[in-house]
Amino acid sequence: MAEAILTSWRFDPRLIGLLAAAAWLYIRGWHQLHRQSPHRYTPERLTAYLGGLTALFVALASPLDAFGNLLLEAHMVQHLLLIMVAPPLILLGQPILPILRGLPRRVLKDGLGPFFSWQGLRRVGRALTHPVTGWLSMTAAIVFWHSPRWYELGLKSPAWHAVEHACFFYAALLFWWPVIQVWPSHAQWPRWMMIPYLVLADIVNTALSAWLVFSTHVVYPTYELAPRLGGLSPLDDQSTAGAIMWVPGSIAYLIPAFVLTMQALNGVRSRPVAVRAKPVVRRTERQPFDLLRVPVLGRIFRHRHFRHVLQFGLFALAVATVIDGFFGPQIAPINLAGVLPWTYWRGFVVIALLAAGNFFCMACPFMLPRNLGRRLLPARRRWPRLLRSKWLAAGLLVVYLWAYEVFNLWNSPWWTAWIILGYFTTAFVIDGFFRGASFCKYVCPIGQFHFVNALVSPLEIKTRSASVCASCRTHDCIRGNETQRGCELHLFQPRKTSNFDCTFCLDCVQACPQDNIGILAGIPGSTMLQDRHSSGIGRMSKRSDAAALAWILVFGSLVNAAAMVDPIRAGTQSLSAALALRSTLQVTTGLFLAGILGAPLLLAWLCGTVAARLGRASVSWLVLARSFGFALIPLGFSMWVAHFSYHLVAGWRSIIPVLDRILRVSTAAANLSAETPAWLPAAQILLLDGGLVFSVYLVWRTARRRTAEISGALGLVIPWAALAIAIYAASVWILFQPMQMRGMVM
Amino acid sequence: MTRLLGWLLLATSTPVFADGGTVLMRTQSPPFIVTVFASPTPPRVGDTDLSVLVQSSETLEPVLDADVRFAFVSSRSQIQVRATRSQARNKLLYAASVQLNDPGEWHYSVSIGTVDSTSRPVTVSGAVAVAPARPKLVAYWGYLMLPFLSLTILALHQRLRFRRPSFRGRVSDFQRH
Repeated sequence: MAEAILTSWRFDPRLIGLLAAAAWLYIRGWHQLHRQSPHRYTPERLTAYLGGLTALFVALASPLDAFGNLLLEAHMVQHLLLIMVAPPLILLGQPILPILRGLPRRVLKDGLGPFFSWQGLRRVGRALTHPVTGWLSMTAAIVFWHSPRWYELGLKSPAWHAVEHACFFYAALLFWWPVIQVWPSHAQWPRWMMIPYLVLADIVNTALSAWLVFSTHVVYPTYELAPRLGGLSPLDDQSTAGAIMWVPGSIAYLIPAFVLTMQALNGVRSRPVAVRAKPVVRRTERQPFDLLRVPVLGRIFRHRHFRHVLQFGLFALAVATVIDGFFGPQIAPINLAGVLPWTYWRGFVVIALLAAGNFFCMACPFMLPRNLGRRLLPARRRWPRLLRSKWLAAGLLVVYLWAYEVFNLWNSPWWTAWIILGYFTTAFVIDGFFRGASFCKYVCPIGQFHFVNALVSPLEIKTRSASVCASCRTHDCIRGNETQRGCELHLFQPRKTSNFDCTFCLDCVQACPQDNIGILAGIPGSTMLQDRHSSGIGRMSKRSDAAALAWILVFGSLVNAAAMVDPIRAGTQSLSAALALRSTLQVTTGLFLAGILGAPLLLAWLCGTVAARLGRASVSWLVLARSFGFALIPLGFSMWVAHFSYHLVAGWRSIIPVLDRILRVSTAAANLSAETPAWLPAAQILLLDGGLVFSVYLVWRTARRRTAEISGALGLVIPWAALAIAIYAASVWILFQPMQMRGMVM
Repeated sequence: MTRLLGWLLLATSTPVFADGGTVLMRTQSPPFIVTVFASPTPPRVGDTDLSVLVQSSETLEPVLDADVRFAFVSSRSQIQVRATRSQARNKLLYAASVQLNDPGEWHYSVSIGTVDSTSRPVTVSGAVAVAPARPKLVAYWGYLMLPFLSLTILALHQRLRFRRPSFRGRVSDFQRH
């Protein structure tokens, strides 16, 4: 039994992640401050802070929480940790400055800076940390949540239980704040006033404890119904809990009261004597994270043949998919062509884009036929000037998305195999006749999907030091050299500003003689905040073709997901039946074209026209639609990720029946069904939340670039922000509908 | 500090997995005392966490080597599931998650045997009213409000930032080009 109790921990990754992040920030800042002011930021402070976080973890993750609804005494110990232990320890760590110093400088300066200089927030902070507020908050929280009605609510509802704990913890932080007097806040009462402050709090605590100890009936009905462990009666359990609250609780109040009394009697100053701080050492600018400088991993990425290994791996999978698609059973859930591309590949590539960058293009299996074409065919022609834009690729993208719906590509291994084969052939022919990476830059719809969505990826291939490039005369990154070709997509690294058109091929990395190009981290999407001229691309806001791609992908994310939900599918069938059509082809095509071309055109015109009027801008709606369309990319991308990750997560075992068939073994595939984990809908909505906030922010920044007047900028923002919110609402509606689980044994 | 408070708010708002929940039934059926818990309260259509504490009726000690199975029957569905200690957070309990798809009354039975068959199997049964699922908009309202809260903070941030003199009268990039 003891073993069972001791193993009843809950290692919730969210809790652990949040506490680890809070610890990491503090340690990062403390480390800097300790060097400057070792007398103020002592190791004891660090220990206290980490001890406070540990107490918080023990309160929320240990068996105390697991047994809280069986034993009141366990619950009481948990509350004591949240009220009497964790908050004062955290505050003893003097956490304000260490945490602020631990934040990235940009977040601190640009993100939080305006709030810190805001008088309103200072007033609120001062009111919150006033002793009266602290005392009343703590007393109210303890009395309120120990009244039977609310305590029972917490026991019955996990959500209210969390609210109860949050109330205890935050009220305790406010209570202990003036007692510890967290630096650099100023004392609002004389120090000696903290003695009656603590004693009065102890009186309340004592009264409540006595009520529990001496009560002749069980105060909380849940514990009367709960099974008794170890023969402890509910009334004994309640008395013990009251005693725990009484004795250790009083000690927690009276020890600091005693210390303060001694200090007052001895005439010790409340504030430590200012210690001369060491001269502030200016922080040198930190280099951003560079994937190519990560030990081992960086070497692997930089290896000349690393990319070829990835490409060969994906090529082998593609060949296997084609063979199975042509010659395997034409049942998608047990065919590689029904499972690999539509469940796994799509999910993994969007997650890679979200978490890192355009790693699919890095591993693109179509590189092998492209290279073969260049060897076997002349490959001397230049790509026709008329086609040097994204229009062809945008058209192919629309055709691909349309064919996916109309021909149920996900359900047809044969068609899937033909598409892959067609892709290989097209790549072979185009790069066999035309120079450079014409296929990637002007034709490949999959590549365009990645180029556009990689605009919000956190990693980018760029130069490490501008000064090194300034002194470079050879420009090998674009021109190439004897051993390594330069960028085939004509992106000159020193003037490249985003991931657009970048295939992560690392040719520039290999070619640079100065080793000045890395895969560097940045704030995702920050390159979209400015509309700078970029090598090989120009200014995005001037590119109608790129804007069209963005609009298609944003609305494509909705159309692609909407076609899989029950109401839309039922509506399509009903409409087809009402029109006496034999199949749903015409209705599906009509709805698809309306959704992916008609709606964006109409809304771009509408928003552009309204924005021009409200923002008093003397430009056409098209100019505005071109600029503001890019701002919607994060929202569209978040919908792609939410949608594809649903298929990936719910159908992550889809490969099992395929392997069963290929390997001729029998596993539990017959019982396989799609499972949607409880956390997935929340994660999907959080993704959309992030996309909406980022898109609206980009709309605002785009408007600010357009005009210096706030009223004009607001006029520009309103229609585009409304459009973003409408897309968000539509996305949420789609995700809330029952979705067809494609390519899965049900 | 705002950041810290935000993080800690998130940390403490992490849903507590109440694999105990509230007591659905407690009955003595020698040689066991069986207590069945359900969470949420009341059970709703969707995932419901069920757990069972099996105690010896003689000593009240928890029985930790039992074989516990749930059977749920409604007018339209039938579900059978095995409850194990490994699925429970409180390792004195046997827990399982079942998906109750229909609102209304469900009859359930809990069969308890011991692995070494030293005690005869015991079956206890009862009924539970399952409430309809909460509308998704209600279930996820907090997540849906989050971007609007963020945008409000962002608006305040921009207002504070751009009222500073250094940001006034800046010539826009558009105008320059």
